[in-house]
Amino acid sequence: MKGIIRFLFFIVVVYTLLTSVISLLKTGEVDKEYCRDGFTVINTENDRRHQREWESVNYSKSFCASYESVEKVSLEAGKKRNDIIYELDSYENVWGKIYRELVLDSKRHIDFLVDSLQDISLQQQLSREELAELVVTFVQDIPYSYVRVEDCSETDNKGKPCIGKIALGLLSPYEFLHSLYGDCDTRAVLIYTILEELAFDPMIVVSNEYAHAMLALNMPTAGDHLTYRGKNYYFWETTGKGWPLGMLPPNSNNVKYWKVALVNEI
Amino acid sequence: MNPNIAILALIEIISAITIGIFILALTYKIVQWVGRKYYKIQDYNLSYSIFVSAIILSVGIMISGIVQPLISSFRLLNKSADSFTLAFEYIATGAIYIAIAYTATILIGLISTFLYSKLTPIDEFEEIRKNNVGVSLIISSILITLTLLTKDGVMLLIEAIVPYPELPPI
Repeated sequence: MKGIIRFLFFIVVVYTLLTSVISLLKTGEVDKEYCRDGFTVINTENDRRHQREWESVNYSKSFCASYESVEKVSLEAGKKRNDIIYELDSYENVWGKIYRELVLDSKRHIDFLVDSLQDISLQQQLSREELAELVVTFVQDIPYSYVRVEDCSETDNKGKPCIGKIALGLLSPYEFLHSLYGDCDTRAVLIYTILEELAFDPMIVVSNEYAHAMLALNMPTAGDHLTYRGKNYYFWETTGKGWPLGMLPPNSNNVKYWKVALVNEI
Repeated sequence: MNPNIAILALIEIISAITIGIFILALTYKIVQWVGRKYYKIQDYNLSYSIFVSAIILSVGIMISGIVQPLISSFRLLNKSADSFTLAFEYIATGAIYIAIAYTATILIGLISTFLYSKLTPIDEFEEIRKNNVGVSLIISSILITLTLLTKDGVMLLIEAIVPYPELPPI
């Protein structure tokens, strides 16, 4: 009897202790900001006005942003992407060079989004960590689609949207923002571009074994990471909602299979 | 200092200490009770102490692997639920993970002892009761080695029940 009482007391103490510590994490009621998710074509040129509504990883904050994208700029970005020339090299180096070209070319086109996200961050008084999460969750919230080199009708798209006949099998950041079609590396390149503009230290990692690309970020946290030049870059899955920094999906969690494709060397 | 990371670290430390104290105390009590009741083994028996230490070490090795999946679960459970519900869910999840790892360790212990006793003509528990240190060391080594070999598999089993968010078929 004494043993049972002691055990129950032990459980109650642990439960109380955990509840107190957890309550420090909770910031109160969720302040929901509602806006309509989607886009409208605003003229005959197929320019679009987008509105996005998304939430933080733990659903404690809600965000809303709107932006306009121009069809002509998107087509020009696509043309430049088609013209990217790459030499035969290792898997990660080939992709690294392609990503670098896309990032450099896109920076001037996505300033509006960087400013918009920064405004939200200022309004909601977000910390640096929360700003990074704001950027990543914005992209995580956009539904996944396949971006293929071949025609979509020739491939098994598993019920997901698909855009076919795209050189290199990825879209540039501006094309992604305009069309909202994005696979793993298309997303990683957009997030990398924004985070680099916001003075973060991001990285794009690729895996030939998993046929996947992902973002990694040098930021104080815990979990799955890759050490590069003495710095820890934590993995961040961007193809689905709810993935926090430093957590690799169980079907791609062998860190040895992930290689650095692009990192800011400065 | 980043407060969120500090809180996460606190939760990890509290979880590790709680699980450690609870599991190790429970294991020690069970093994002591079994030794006294079924084999009439006295406390000063060095051979039995070595064997008990090996069991505790095996349990420790196996249970140490559940801390990371448990913290991952906490980060994923930490959605809109209030603190009390979250703490309850966290403890319940921890209990399931511990149950899996503990059952696996017990099975490994039983299998290793059984296999060894079938391979040799001697009665191992009788030898331990007689304070035969050599036999105790060998059984202990088998137990620890088998635990190390099976740990990854058991952890994979636990990973399978972590409530990861959905991913598109990439």
